[in-house]
Amino acid sequence: MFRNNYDNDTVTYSPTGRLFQVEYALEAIKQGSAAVGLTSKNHVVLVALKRNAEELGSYQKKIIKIDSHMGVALAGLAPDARVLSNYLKKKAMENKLIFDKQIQTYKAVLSIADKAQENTQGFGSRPYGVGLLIAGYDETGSHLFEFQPSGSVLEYFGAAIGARSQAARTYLERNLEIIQQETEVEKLIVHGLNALRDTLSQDVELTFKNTTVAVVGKDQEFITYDDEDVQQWLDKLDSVSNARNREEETEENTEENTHETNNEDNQDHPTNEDRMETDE
Amino acid sequence: MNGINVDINHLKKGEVNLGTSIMAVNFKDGVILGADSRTTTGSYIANRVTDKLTQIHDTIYCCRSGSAADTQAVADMVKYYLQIYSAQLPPGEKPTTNIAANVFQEICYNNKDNLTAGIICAGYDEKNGGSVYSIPLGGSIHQQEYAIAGSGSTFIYGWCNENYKPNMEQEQCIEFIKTALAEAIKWDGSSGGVIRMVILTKKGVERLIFYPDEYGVLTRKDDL
Amino acid sequence: MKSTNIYLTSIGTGYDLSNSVFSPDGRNFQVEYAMKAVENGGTSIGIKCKDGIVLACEKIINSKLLVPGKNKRIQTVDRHLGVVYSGLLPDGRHFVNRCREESQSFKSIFKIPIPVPNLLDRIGLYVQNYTCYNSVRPFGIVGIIGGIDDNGSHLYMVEPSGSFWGYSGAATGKGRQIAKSELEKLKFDDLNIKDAIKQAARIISLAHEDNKDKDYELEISWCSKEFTNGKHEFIPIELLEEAKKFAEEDEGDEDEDEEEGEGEGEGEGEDTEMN
Repeated sequence: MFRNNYDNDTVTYSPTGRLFQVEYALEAIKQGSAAVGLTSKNHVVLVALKRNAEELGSYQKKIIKIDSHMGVALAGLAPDARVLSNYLKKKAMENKLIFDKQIQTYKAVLSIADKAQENTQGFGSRPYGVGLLIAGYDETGSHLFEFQPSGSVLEYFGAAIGARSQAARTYLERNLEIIQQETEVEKLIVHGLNALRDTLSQDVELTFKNTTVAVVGKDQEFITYDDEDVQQWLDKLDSVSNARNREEETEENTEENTHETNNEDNQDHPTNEDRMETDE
Repeated sequence: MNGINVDINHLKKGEVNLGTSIMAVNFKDGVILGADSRTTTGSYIANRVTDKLTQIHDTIYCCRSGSAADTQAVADMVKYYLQIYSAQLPPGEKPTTNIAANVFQEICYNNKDNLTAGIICAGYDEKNGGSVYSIPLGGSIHQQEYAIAGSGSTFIYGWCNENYKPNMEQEQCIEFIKTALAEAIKWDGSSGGVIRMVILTKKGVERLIFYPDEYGVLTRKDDL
Repeated sequence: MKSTNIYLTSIGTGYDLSNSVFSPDGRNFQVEYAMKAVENGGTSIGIKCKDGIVLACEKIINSKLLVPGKNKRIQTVDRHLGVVYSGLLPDGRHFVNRCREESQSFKSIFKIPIPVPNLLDRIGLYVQNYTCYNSVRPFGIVGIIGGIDDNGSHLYMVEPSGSFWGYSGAATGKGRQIAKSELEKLKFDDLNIKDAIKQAARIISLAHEDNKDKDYELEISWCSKEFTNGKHEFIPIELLEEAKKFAEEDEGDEDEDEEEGEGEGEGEGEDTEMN
């Protein structure tokens, strides 16, 4: 039943020092549909692909508002995300009560990081099975964090989680500099949708029913757009289906192959690297 | 006690009280603690040769006033904390008076509703020399050049303020304490017995005791 | 002895499947495996000198999308105390949180900042506890704790087993062997803190050699009576740039010297540790 003896629980290290149960929890994120987040100086945008269990069923909520200045997008087990976002809401309210101030994004995010870590070091509880992108705008500006069930939290300019999210990350990396310079929220959203579009499987298109958009930023409270409200941005896309699938419809391309091509194509690669070296 | 309604019956019926005159004074080479020796249960003197100067560490002592039971218990706790603490110090190092006083304060404050303890913590350490801390009833802490406490102290505030001098010689300081306590004992009904002193310096601990026929003369000569 | 040797006595015996279990020859394999998690993490080092301590770490950058200068790995426990760690980073946060609780608890009783040895005494007990029960796993980190108290500067390293030692120069993580051999060359008695910063940058840069295909970000913090008033802080940006430049220039020299010898030495060291 089990792949090896070391993956039964979170309290057993493998001989190489890995925690398989935690790694499997990370896999659970990939079972969920994709969510993408990106930042500019004054705004953070979250976009996500909603799924419905069946044709007549409603679509699963992918973005949860935490406070007027913060919200999360999820990929993976939605019930776990509800637990974590309730915790975030609680923390946000506590902060307001005690300090009469909105909670800083990093502080909120680290609180769930520590909570998630506890579930990886003790017997009898499982790690959370959900990844989160946390978008927030506070007195220190716009912030985007990626949360993982391992308890890891990292701050990104742009991030993507969920099924085929590597394609979205590739898009974000390629267009990082343009995205960061972007002053208009509208264009930031379009970039987000472009990235999200790259994660689509062959038979799916972005529609106003399966796409959800959220924005937070300077003078902009956290707001989520669904259904008809999303159409305005879908209209701005050159296409609502995955470019890769359009071009190579006949080709049987595996995920990995495509990524490699993408990376090789990537002309910005060396310049990006330089930037990371010098910035501190 | 809430500051408006003062509970004058804070001691349980029959509880032993250190109706007391205690003090500690910094001098040139360290610090000297002094106390009377009377312990009462109502109008009965339960012990007329009490030792109210209790050792906390090698050269850290405290003067206890209030409930005998409470102050003994608190002193025991501080002693325990300091043992744990000093076990972790590098070899040869000793805790400072400051540390001990702050532990007293923490315990007295956290249990203020259940304690009747007015404590003076004084000691000698290599880092600060002699130091005196007063921890009165509510659990606050005050570092002072000298401190007086207990029921008898109310009668000698003025005298001490007038006669205290910084950096006294040892003999001078002993005389200061002896005179002050003699005066306190004279006017306070619940202070009395002998005067005990502990001298804490670089050299270590030295104890002194003075009997009524000796210290009594100090106050009598003025009256006559 | 090859590095696979450790596994011959562990895998398949069943003694390595649960924490808190001794093997017949008296080892706790889960603790050793936790150490493996550390050995794959980015390098962290600490240097103790006369007038303070320096902590530094190599933060591997796995994505260009990460925000530079954020996601700090060196953390402050108390005003006078810093921690850096290698291994499972979320475990590191747990570790630091506990360090903070311990130093606050000390302060609440004694009203003075916790002396560094006292903190180690307490945190050592805490970490050790995680090797005693099969309901938990050991910490997947090695923590380097540095700070200043009334008795001067202190540097310690805590392992998943809960044991800790004082160091003049401490190193852990992937590049620890190179870092250790470089640290051993330093003259700690007459090293001043500004030189220590430069050395830290140089050593991290050398330790990164084996992992050159990945970018890294250098983090350095210090704690000094003279320069930071006894507080633990990240070094100012000018000092960081200066240190980086020093490391780069030195790297140029090193290349000409003996790159091969360095590599071999490291391999041998690795084996010795396994035995």
